[in-house]
Amino acid sequence: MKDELISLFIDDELDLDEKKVFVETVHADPVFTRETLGLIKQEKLLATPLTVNRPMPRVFSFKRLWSFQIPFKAMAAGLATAMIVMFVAWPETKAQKLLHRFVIFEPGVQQAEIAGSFSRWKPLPMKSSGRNGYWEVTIELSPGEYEYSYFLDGKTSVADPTAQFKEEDDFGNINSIIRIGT
Amino acid sequence: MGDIEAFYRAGKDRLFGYLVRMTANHDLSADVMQESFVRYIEHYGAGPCQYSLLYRIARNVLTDHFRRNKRFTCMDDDVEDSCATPEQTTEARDAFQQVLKAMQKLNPDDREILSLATGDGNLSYQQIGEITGNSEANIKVRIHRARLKLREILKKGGA
Repeated sequence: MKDELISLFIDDELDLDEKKVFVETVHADPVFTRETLGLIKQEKLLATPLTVNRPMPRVFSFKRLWSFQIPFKAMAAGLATAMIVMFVAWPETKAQKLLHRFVIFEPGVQQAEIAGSFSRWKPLPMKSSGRNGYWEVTIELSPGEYEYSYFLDGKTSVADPTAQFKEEDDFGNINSIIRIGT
Repeated sequence: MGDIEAFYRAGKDRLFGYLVRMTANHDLSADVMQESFVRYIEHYGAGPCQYSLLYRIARNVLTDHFRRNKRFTCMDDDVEDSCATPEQTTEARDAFQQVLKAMQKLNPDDREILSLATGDGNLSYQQIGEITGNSEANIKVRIHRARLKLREILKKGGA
């Protein structure tokens, strides 16, 4: 039982009574002290700080939209209208996917990625076109409108300078908009 | 909205650390970290930010991954070099990789509970209990046993 005090100590979970027992045991029992020091050393290794450079995923969420208290009737009416439009205008055959090449000129970066509504905002790697500073990726997309953004070196988000349409998202980032096959 | 962004900034490295300790795989951990935040924001983004919930989601994403790949560890041979941080000395990097390697030798339950308890801004035993569905008393015992098992593996050379 006393041995478990070592982990409680490491994890800052000791209450006052346990602290008292722990300190007394450290003073009285050199084996316990050695074991404590050994496990602290092991914990320091295991707790090596780690960092990851990934931009925050941007996600459209109905629940978040709901939290802005859009009136229920207005939402229901919008949904009904959308369903009618879809029912009337839905094409009979499945639309064919089209290849689209995204290109950005960024000679000073080590890594370029693209993320958009087509990838659920998961970054997709772009390929460097030799040493001329261009990065490119070709993606198969169904006809429609997509928002997207480029991510440089895993941290900076930039809009496509060649895109005709741009829009600010919930987080103040500027996204580019592309229409495929429309 | 700002809350979610702050939650992401404050939580991404912690969650990533948990996942690296679980998998010893940098890229997989980064992907699972991001997918977990996507699911969290999609389903719970409107409510208060809860780490326990985020970790439960991450746990499910990871379980799905393991199930699809029919294995419960990602590491067969060497722990990826990319799991080490660039600031580390070679010695510290080797030691960290050794301990990550030893972690992969633990059974999944022990590895998970230790991964949750370890790291910067580590979770409380109460939070770990919420994530794993165990009582706090049970967590107390299991964490210490997992630490001792890890120590034994390291004593035997780690691999």
